[in-house]
Amino acid sequence: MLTEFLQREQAAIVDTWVDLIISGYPAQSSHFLKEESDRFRNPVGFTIGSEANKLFAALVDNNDESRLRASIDSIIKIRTVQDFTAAQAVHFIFLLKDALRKTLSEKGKEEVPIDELLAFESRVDRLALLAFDSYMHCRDRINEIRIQEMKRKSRFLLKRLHIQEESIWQEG
Amino acid sequence: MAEKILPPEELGRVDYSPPKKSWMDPKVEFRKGTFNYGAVPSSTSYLDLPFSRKWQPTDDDWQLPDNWKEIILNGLKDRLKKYRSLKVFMDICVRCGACADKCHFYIGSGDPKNMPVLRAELLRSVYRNDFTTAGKLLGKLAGGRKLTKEIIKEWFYYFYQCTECRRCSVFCPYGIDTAEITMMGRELLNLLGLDIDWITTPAANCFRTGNHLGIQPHGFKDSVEFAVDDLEEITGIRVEAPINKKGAEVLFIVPSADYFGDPHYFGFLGYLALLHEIGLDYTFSTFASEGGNFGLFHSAEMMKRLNAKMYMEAKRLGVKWILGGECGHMWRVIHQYMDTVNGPADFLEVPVSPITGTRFEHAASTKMIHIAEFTADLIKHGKLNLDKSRNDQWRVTFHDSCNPARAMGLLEEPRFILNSVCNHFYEMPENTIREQTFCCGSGAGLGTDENFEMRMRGGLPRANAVKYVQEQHDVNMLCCICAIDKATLPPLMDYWVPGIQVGALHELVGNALVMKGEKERVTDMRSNPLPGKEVTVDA
Repeated sequence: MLTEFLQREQAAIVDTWVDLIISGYPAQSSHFLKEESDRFRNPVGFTIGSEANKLFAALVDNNDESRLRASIDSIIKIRTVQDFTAAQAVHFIFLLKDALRKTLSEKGKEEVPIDELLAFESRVDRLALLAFDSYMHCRDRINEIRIQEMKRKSRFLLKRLHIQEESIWQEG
Repeated sequence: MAEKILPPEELGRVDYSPPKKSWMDPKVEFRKGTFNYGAVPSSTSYLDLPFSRKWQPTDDDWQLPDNWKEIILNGLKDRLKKYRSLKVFMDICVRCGACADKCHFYIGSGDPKNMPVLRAELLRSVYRNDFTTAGKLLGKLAGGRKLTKEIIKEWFYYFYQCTECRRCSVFCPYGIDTAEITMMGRELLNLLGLDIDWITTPAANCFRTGNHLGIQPHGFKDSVEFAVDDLEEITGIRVEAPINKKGAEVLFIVPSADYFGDPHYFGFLGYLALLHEIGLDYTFSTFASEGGNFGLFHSAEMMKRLNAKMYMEAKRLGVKWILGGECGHMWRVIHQYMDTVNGPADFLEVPVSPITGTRFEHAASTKMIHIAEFTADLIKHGKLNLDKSRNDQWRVTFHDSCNPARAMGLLEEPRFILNSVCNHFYEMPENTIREQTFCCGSGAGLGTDENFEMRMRGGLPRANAVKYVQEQHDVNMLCCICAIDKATLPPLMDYWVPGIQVGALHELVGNALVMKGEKERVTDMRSNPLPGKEVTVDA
């Protein structure tokens, strides 16, 4: 059964997945991102590691989207402002397939029915769509916050000119 | 010709193999959201800066003067001669890597050239190539790089990805101040007219009107009067806020954002309330109407030009000493450079609090103290009547602003004040505060909206620690004592940790301060209802 395999090999699969994600960063930084375990000294590596674990567990349990969304958002929020294109920012989801296939080929090729594997990979695809939504949400937030920042700069100036419409300041 | 369409799984693929190019390859890409615009000619020419022209980092041709190489190498030569520290910093780094993972931009981006050691190496490699025997003989083998136009672009990209916060310097066993290397890099770039607008235009404004925003004396007066009105509405007390008053005991200089910015302004109301309550004989100046000094981010010369006004005004008005508001880099200028740049200010007196009698010996030469020191001293001597419960709407954490923390060691005073004015104060994890504090990611002239994504990267470590105290203690206010922080932390929080407000230390002081003869307070400095007074305000 695939589920048993996934539960048994969770550590190996997630570890490979995280390795693949981190190797998308410059080579001189991958050691730091992977090995520094202090969450405050290495928020990027820590977030990728811990959220990848949560995502994987939620996928195996076939949890609903709400449980996946928080973890997706945490990682995407970071990748949105890093040096990635949109495709690169969400691509890490597909790397889970690579990690799974690699672990399967090493440790459990025979015991997994193909239909279960395809079903699991479809869940991974759905996760990628969620990641794209999350990416777009982050881009929107950036634009909204930039607008808010400009408004904040002129707030007291307008107040002094007696232009203080409530509607100017409300957030959507 | 149409591009080749990759199969779906190849589309977003990142190349996992280590890059083929070495760090010596200077090529950089100016992506929208990750760099600052070039300075407008009206500002560069106002300041008589060389090679004033219209240009942008995204231009292929930066219109460098023909003798650009000679200008840079001579500029470096001059600075190596003038600053012994620069020569030492160029020579003594052993590349131990202690600083490598301490930079907030590196932590947030993973870009190796944001490691302080490698950022310094961008300049050091040119130094090696042209100023050391090994480099002259062996070139690349000795870690030298020949100066090229690509290197100039690379310098611009990375020296404007350093906020001069000096966190890396805390960890350097040799005491190399990487911020000063960035400063030198920027000075050299400026020799070619490669100034950025967010530094140059505020500096030009400050040179013209005395503050970064370009507010003229009548505008300054209006702003202060407006604040006096607002404070009266909140407290029922009409305070005096003297301007250009000759013979006052103290000149009070605040960053201009304090009387114009949100949320700075609420702290400004707090200052006015406090200084009225203790009856300090002080004055503002319409010409020294800026505590900040964007010249620091440009060049030593510009810093000197802007800093001079403070002391000229102190002299003109005949005050005894200077009190400074909640500002960050102002204190690096005052504490570490002023004395040899413009000072010593020997026509002033060593600051003595007329209320407590405390003599601020550490300011014996600069004659200028930070308001956090002044207020902490007042509280310590029991001179203020404080009602902590008037800040019960806030669960506060404190962000040590880089310069007050690392440049002047102002660590205990703000915490002492916070513990005296509010009931709920929670520290962020210890490796993210005090000397090890993480920068807001937007200091040193980088706080522009065009640079927004880079700021979010650089601010991630700070935001990450705030998120932790939000989760652990339900914190809802990030308090700080720096004007740049107050301008740039709100968007940082909005992106990474929604639900956190940013506030000034003296906003909380103003809330808690029970003033003689005040009316029943129903709102805080933000004109929001105080806890338990919501109905009164609505009615």
